[in-house]
Amino acid sequence: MKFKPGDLFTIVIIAVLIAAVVAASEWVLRASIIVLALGGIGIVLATAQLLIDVLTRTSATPRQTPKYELPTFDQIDPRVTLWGSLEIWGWLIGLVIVIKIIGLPLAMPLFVLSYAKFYGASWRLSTLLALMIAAFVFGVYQQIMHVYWPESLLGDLLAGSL
Amino acid sequence: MFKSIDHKGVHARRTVARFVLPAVLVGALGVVADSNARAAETDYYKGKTFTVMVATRPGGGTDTVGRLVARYWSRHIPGNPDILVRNKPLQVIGANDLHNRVRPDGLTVGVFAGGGSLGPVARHSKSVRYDPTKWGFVGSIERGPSILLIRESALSRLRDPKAEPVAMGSVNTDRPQDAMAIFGMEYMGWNLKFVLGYPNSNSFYLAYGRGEIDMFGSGTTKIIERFIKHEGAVPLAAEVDRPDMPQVPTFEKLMGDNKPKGVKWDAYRAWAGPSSVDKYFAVSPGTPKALLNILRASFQATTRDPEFVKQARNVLGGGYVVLDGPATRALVEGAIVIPEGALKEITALRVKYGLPKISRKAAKLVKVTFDEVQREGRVLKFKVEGKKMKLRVSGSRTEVMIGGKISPRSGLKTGMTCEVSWAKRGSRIEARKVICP
Amino acid sequence: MLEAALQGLSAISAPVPLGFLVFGVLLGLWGGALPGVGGPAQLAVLLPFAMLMEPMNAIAFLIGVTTVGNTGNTFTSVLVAVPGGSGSQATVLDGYPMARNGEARRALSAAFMVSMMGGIIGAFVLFATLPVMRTVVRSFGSPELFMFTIWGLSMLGTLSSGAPLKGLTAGILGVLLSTVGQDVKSGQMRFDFDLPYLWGGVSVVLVSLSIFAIPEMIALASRKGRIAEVAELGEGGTMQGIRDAFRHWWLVLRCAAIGTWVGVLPGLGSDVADWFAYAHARQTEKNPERFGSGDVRGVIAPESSNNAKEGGALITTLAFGIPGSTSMALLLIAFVAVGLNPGPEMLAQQLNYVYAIIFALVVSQILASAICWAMIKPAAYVCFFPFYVLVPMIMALAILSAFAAHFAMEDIIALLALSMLGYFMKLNGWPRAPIVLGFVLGEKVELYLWLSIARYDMDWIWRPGVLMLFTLVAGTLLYPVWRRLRNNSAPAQQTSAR
Repeated sequence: MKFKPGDLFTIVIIAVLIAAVVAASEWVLRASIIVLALGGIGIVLATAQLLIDVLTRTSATPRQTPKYELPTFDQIDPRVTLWGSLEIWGWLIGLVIVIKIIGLPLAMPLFVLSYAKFYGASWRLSTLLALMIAAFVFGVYQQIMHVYWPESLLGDLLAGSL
Repeated sequence: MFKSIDHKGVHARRTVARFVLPAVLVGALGVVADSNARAAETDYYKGKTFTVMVATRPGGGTDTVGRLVARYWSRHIPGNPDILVRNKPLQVIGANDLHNRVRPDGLTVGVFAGGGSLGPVARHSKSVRYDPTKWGFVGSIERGPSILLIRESALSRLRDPKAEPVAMGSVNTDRPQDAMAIFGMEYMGWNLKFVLGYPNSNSFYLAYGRGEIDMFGSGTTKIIERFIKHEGAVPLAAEVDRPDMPQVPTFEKLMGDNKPKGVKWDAYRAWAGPSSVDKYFAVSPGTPKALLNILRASFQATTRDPEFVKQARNVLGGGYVVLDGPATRALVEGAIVIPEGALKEITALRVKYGLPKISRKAAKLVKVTFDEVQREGRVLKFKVEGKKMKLRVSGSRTEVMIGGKISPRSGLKTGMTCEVSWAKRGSRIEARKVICP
Repeated sequence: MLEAALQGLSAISAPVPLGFLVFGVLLGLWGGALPGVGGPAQLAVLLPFAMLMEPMNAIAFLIGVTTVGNTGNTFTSVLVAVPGGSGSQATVLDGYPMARNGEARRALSAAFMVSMMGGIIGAFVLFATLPVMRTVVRSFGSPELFMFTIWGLSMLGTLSSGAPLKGLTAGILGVLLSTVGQDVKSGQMRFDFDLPYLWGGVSVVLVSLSIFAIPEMIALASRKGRIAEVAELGEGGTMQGIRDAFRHWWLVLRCAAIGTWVGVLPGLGSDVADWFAYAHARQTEKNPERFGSGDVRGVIAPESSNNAKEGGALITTLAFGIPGSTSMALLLIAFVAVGLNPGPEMLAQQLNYVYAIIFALVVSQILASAICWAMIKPAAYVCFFPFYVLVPMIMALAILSAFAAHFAMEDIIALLALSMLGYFMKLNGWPRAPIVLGFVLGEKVELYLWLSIARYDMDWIWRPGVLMLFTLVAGTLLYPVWRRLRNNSAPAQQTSAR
């Protein structure tokens, strides 16, 4: 039996399918039948996949990847991939936090400006990109679509002080 | 040396000075203030965007009516604001948003259909986080009572239990035509089979054209006329009298001696009750009365606009009626009250004919006083009928309302008296609703 | 009829309506190129203006806006793997690899050529069949529509080659994702976790962005490179793309036919046309193993179908007066507002307007493709932009696009949560296309199966249309097997002949 970290994802999928089937079992049949049927089939298929992977895998087994999936991650050192992925996820989570603090219209240009500058763009280029996003946000979403922006800490503070 | 003092005159002058002048001054200021306020009201909408929030996906009846009004509304609102139409995917979502998220600044009006927004309220659904009685009502457009249409060739099968059942198309069996069909099955032995789950009215119009269903209902005159003229349909019954179609008998008349009495007939009226309010326009709780009045007046002016009338006749047909704000409120308040006996009867019929429950019933609310509130509202301790209770309050699943508005759980304090409902969740008991004054 | 056609043509080709058409096409392309801005959202904003126009001007403007979005979508689908709209999801599978191989110009050129061809074919079908289409559309009921969705699901296997079990499981996950929200036929709230945000279901824009776009941008950010893995774009790409379109004319015709049919049948939804066409191409073309690594046929197939469906969709709207999609519903509102009467009355009394619509459709397709061609050269250089330009811009656009689903903070949270799924699927070699196909088809599968049983019990299985479509499904599944067997036995026959 040979386990690889990727098998964990298959286990998670199986767990999600089991949870879906369990949740659906409490619903009326009309609503649950498709979830029970397909969820059950999915559990069988995913378990079969896990068993095939674990039991038949050898060191020489090539990675099973759909033909059309871009082998983006395969060609790079996994440590680089992991670190690079963690970085960008960090940026995205940080973006969500900043949106909650200063609001979406301000957070988006700030994100673009800081990301571009951090990774090597000049001030001019970073500012230009940020202005393009700001123009899009204010021109399309604000002026044309008249969006109600989600509440933010800064917005609440300003509203409270006025 | 001294002029004699005219005491009465002095008194009179002092009275004027003490009371009348100030009154006149105040009155004058009031006039100025009033005209300033009027000017402010007139200017209020100038340069602003007025949002018409339609509580359905684009393309259906509610959306059509909302957009029809929106098209002409701006010219009748002082200040002529820009009008924006926005859609929400479900009635309940739109209603929740109007009550809890939309600012009461008179810049957003919700457009709803009675059945989808008031039905869950009438049935005490747990998905309801709004109270329509607290909204401001601008007005409504009633397209006309529903007519049950049947394919002429299927008429003979309707009362023949041995024949293939007549297929009745429906979205979710919440409309007046569904009530007519169910009561027809129950009390007149109609040979019907419900085919429900069509996503919207358009899809069962198409299904009728394909021969998939033989019966459906509609209140829109244009649709009724089209299907009678071009698609071989005949009108079977009307929900109530339709002045534009006097030849169609009301369902009550059609039932004749088969008409049930007492609570069973109450159930028929209550089934269709929420849908008796057709398409109505409302603003969020707390909207200033002055702004509500502007919107009411402009709504009436819009619906009297000759261009609107021409378009409305083209889109809806001739049978529609416009109601003002107070009349709409009266309709809404009547629609959300279902007598307990009628509700039981409706539930029993739904079960008998295999119809969807529509929504889960909310757990009963119990009035309690919190002996202790711990961890910023996460834990409530109180007594019910002498028994100690400890409830968890979830930040996402528990609905906490304080003073009529959704509030964070940290607003709950020891000593507050609130109405609470709860349910078991795993090994814990979790509050579903906490409603405090 | 000829007189009505001439009237329609001369009216729509007058300077003012033509001007509105050009304006509409420009707006439609712009909305299509920017994720989240086009489609019904854009149409809803423009509707009030259109409703104030003269009928011919309104027709020209609205047809221009509504029917060219799929052409504009192609830019982001090919260049940055962000499906610009629901009609260009499948284009990403081969379009983006072509961009990475330095063939962005070829991909875009082929896409615009076949978009025009497909759009004109759809318009021609509309022209030729409108009088008889009512009968045809009416013969397709819920059972037949269910079989179409099964045909779609049968393509899950095609999209999973190399990882069939994973692909089918992903497809099932997609179907389960589509069940989130209120089930109309039972009233049951499914997988809502008591969150009102989920009562209306998950948006298809959110799913496609989080499964395709965000993981690709994360990959780009991880390796800190450029999209194109070659040094230069290479000369002659644009002309090569045009040659590809003509070389594969038979594929274009077949996929345009598929797209037209998907458009004609109300209730299938516009999201599936490109998937059906892509999967059909994979199943029937030679050397299918090349699909997914930058084969131009993988761009030609979806792009010719997603424009053809516009003509098909107009058939139901004009012939019945009943819209088959949200965009068509909005279009219908506008048409009625300017005095048109879609339905049987229109075919009888307003035929000149019908022909005006058809001609406007043809002109808008040609115009859109021409405008996009002119932009291929500068647009293709996006592939050489450094990651620190593309990643934040695309992420920002994707987040704003997802936000446009419900204009709620929850949209952004949902996007990132689903993106984790897309990311881990990519990381672990799980095919992602099946999850999107399962999602777009899931709701329809359940709905039409339910309606079929509710109406016909199990007798629907024996309907002639169902049996015919079952044969089609079986044929589609078995044809690749038969072809493989034939190819395997051919060398043996040659050997024995010697």
